[in-house]
Amino acid sequence: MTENFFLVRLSPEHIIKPFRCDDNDLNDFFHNDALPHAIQLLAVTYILESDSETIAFFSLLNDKISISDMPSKTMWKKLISKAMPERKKYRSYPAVKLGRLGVNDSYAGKGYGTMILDFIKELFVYKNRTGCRFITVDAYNDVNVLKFYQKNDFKFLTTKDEKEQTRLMYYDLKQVTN
Amino acid sequence: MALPIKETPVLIGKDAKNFVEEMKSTQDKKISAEEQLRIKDNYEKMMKASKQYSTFADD
Repeated sequence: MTENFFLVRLSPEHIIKPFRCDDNDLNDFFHNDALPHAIQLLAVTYILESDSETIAFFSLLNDKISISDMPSKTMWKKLISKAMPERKKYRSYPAVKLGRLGVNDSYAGKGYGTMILDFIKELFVYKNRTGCRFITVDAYNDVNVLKFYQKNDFKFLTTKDEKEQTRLMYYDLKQVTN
Repeated sequence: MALPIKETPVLIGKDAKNFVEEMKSTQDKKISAEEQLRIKDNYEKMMKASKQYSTFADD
């Protein structure tokens, strides 16, 4: 891992340095969609870069995980009372979504992805100005991508998206504070 | 055009049950001291990298 890198928030003034990874959709998002998302206040993209290249980027947006119903009301009451302390039982929990995370091919496998996840964990547990219980991620449905998130203790939110191009996963930030 | 970022659906049925059960198991789960240190170390590296552009002003 190079010691000389900078973390920059993507803005219209920022000149993007070369970036290429093996996923064309991710390249497309970074080069064409990240800035319009920022301008429309839909997602903020942060770029990790060296003097000459983009090392990695990640896009964050607000999210929540909501529960609509359970197989039975009794089951709901029983489960939720064990999952959350008294008076803290909600059907909706605040989250931050990692919309996209990409690492330049030249820097893959060097720990940048995990460093970014760790940064988000610490930032949203200890430095956030509002409550945030979960990180959600819209992960590409690729065996290596899913393995990466599973290695970092992310869980699948549903099995219904098994055949889709992306899969939703989540990480419970509570375990960082215990 | 790249794929849109997928919205998080409202969880129902088995997905809702699994989610609440997982939240229950995490309530008392604690990450290892080693992992805690790694998280803090990586956070510091990123904060250091953000200083030049004041990307995350540490107040």
